[in-house]
Amino acid sequence: MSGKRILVVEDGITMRMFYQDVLGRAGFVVEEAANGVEGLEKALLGGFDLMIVDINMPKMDGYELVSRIRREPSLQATPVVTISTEAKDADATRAYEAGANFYIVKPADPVLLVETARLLTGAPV
Amino acid sequence: MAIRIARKIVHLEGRCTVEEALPLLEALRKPGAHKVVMTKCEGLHTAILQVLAAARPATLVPPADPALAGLIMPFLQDSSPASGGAA
Amino acid sequence: MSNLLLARFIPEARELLQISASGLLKLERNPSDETAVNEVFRAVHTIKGSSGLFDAGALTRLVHAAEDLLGEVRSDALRIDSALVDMLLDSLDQVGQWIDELERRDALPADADAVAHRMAAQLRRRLGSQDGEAAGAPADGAQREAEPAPADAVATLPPALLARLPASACLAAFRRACGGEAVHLVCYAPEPGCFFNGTDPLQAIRQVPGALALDIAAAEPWGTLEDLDPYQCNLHFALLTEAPRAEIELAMRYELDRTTIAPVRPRDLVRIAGEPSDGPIWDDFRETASAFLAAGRYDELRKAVAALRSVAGPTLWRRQALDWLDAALSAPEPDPALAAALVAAAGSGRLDPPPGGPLPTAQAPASQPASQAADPRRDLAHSVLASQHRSLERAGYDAERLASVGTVVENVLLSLGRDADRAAIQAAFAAAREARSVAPVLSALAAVLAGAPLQRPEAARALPETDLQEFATEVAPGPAIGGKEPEARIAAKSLKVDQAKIDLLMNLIGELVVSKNALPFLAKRAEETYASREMSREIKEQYAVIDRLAQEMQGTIMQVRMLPVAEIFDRFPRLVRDLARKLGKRIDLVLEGEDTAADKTIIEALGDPLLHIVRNSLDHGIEAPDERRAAGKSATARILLRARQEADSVVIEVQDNGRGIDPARIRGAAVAKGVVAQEEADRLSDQEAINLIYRPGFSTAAEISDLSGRGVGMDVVLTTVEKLGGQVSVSSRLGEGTTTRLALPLSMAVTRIMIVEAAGSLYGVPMDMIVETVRVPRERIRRIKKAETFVLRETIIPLLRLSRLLYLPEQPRGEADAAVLVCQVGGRRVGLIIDNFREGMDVILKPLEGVLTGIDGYAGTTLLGDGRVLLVLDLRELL
Repeated sequence: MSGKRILVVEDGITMRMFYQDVLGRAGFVVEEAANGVEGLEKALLGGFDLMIVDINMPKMDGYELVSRIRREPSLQATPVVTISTEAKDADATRAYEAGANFYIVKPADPVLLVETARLLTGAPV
Repeated sequence: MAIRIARKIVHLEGRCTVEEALPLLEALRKPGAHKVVMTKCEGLHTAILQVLAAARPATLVPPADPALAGLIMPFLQDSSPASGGAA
Repeated sequence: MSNLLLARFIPEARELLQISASGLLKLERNPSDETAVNEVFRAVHTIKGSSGLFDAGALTRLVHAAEDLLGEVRSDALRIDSALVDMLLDSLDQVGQWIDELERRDALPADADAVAHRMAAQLRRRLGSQDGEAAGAPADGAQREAEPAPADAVATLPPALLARLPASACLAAFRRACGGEAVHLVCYAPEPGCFFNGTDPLQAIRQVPGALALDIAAAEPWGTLEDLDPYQCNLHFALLTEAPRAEIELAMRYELDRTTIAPVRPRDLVRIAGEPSDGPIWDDFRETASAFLAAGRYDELRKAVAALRSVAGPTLWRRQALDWLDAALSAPEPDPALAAALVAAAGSGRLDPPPGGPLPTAQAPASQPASQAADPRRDLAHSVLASQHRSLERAGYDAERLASVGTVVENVLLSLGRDADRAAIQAAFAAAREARSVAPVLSALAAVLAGAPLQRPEAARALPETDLQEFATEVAPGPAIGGKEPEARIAAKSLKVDQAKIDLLMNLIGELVVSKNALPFLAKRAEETYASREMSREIKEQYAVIDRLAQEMQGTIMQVRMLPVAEIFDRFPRLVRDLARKLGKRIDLVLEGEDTAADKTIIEALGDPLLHIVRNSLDHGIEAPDERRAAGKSATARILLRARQEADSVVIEVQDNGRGIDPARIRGAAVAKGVVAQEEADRLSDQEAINLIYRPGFSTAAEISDLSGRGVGMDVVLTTVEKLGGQVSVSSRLGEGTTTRLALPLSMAVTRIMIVEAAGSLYGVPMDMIVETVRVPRERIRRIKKAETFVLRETIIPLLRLSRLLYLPEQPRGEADAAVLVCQVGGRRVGLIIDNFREGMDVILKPLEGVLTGIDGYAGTTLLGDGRVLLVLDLRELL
């Protein structure tokens, strides 16, 4: 089995480092994008097993990014997890409607994050 | 004082305030089996509640006030080692 | 690990605070600036998100309050005004102080909770104040939602809580919930330090009316009694109440930011117990009831239920199911899915789990309560699959949507090793695509969800409660994923590097530059001592290569050290705004050329002088609005901060359109303060008089103001700038304004010097002071009294002897001409007579150390290629 590749799209530097650290340690190959536009560009380069997308981002927000991903034939099958500080159901619903597969509230518990990534990429738990 | 300590028996009476958490904790830190009698307790601060939950006295006599007992006893009994040993 | 994260967070937070502050100022000037409001909102939002990774709850809460306020500004629910900007800036300042504190001590100060509480409350008071809500009404995020909360926005019920509820009370609550009076779950995670601000969480939660059941849990497992801090609240509360949301919010109004309130789905309240039973009567019921249900004939269904209830024994499980069904049907418009589930339960003797479990979103804010309330880890796989079920159910057949759901479901099952389920799901997906309907997938998913727990037993154990601070040790390396090295890691586009590392690299390159200077000496020795011209030539060739590389490295590292002047300019909008308000003046600050870059040493050192000039302008230059109007000027004054690059210099101008400097007043003040004598003052040109403000001890204001004065004059500006190798000039027109111009070298890391000989020793002279080198024939040196001069292209240049300046014995030289270094020092030209010129070179200047520290006249020392120490002169001090 090759290393599962995760694209993290998140504008916060600290948050990116957090994902890189937590997921990297768990054996994932983590790549980063700092906003929705960059995220879409990198995603289109292909080869990601999972995308973790922050909701509130400059240039293109998470909702927009997820719905763009779902319109791209090459990305339609890629699982997407959205992450937001908002615990409101309306936000989660909006993310699911845009095409997200799961919604996590920030700050994500590292163990939960790793477990989610493993489940969604088919890696053994 | 709403806290009264007689040898190994701690009595909580009236309204127990946050100031009494420390003396209660100190009493319960002493080695041996403790008994806490809350029969005359009319109300207690969260700090008191958590000291009781953490210390898990061997015997806990619930407050006579059913409302107060209903509020705190399920929690305290869950966290007590010999569950139900009090009531 | 958390320290590394924190070390990353601190500079990020500072940058974001800076962005927020300048955005707020833009917004204050132009409240409809959408870009600015988005920028500020996002910056604050990012701080909030990242701060959640650390033990800084107070900071997160304060930022959260600010974010909520900005959210309203963004959605036009709230108009921004100066008072609001003040409030937000104060909050950001507070956050900035806490960031400093986090950097110093890894923790917030003890009073942080109280401060955050107070400031957040102040901010929240402005929330919703403009859309007609009653003042003082609780206003938190939840209440401000446009809709009351969608029907599917539900809470996950902690099982312990339900167990606390007597069956009869539970059934009653269920009946009400089915009738549309929602039962709410209130999750309350008090701030650990809340006892100190007088909060008694138990008392607070007791205030909530309509309580059905309360569950109390320890947030963190209790340690030993010796370690217990009785004053740190470690309890979390989950309360089930039939009170409406508004009443709950009123009761919890002081703790709303630590509380979540969510309606409970009636389905989750269902709790059936009793003895098993069997018989055809139940099968018949199931058949009839299902038919009524499918046809929507609720009245007949109700009758059927009532009939069977009257005959079935009250202790039977199935009879109890009927009680719940009866309650569900008591609603005017019963929920068909719920009724169907209960019909099935009564018919089959067991209750199937509901399709589509709750979303893992009903969590308490801030710290994730570790109580059994909504532990998303426990049922993660279930949650993930339930989410797929729900979104498919809602979206209907959509090939685009189906693809990722397929991947997720398959991966989850693969992950769990559920091969049989996987095969079934794969078949269902194939059938779904065939039939262009989600139904096969929905039912296959429902089957999986209803089946065995979606968890491997060992996985359950492997999920201990994790303290975020220790996550690095808790997250075990994943088994078997990433068998290969992560070969495809794409390099990040930019790096954030510690300045100290750049400085070290800089020094090393500097040493290299100096070391390479040894090669020409070596070449000379090869030729002179070993008489090998060949070797000498080869060394020189190698030298040329190394020299080029060293210069490139130097150039590159200089680029790395370059910072935009925006680094300091960005402080000014806030500063000018605050000072202007304090002084009652109206000022429009304009920044230009913020992208102009210079070495970080220059940029960092520029802050203070610039601050001084701007303050001086605000204090003395800019008139009060009335005075301006009287002078026929606009009431709002303008200060322009402009940076640009000119050749090797960065030029920064501070221009105001204030009253300008009055040379006559300056002359008078200078004489009065004893800075110059009356005769000298009279002799000065207007420009020279203006320059007097840079003399030590001069300040134009009658009293030293606390803004610009601070007991130091503008001479400090001059000293600082000249130390950096720069120049200051002022031009002013009375009544029209003043322009102060600072010119500084772009970089100062490497100094180019010329080596000169004087009194038998070698000295370095900074190249930037040297205008030219000339050899002057002895006869052209004129003596006027004791002073020597010579004429260079029709200008009289005073001459000084370097050896005399250095108090060294002069060695008479018989040469026909004198070597003269023409230097530009402090705006005038001076000729320096030396013994001989030598080569120029790039050096790293080291400040004088030890006993030399106090000696004037030297800029520092440097190491020559042959190992000798060279003293580099500071001509400004020397002349």
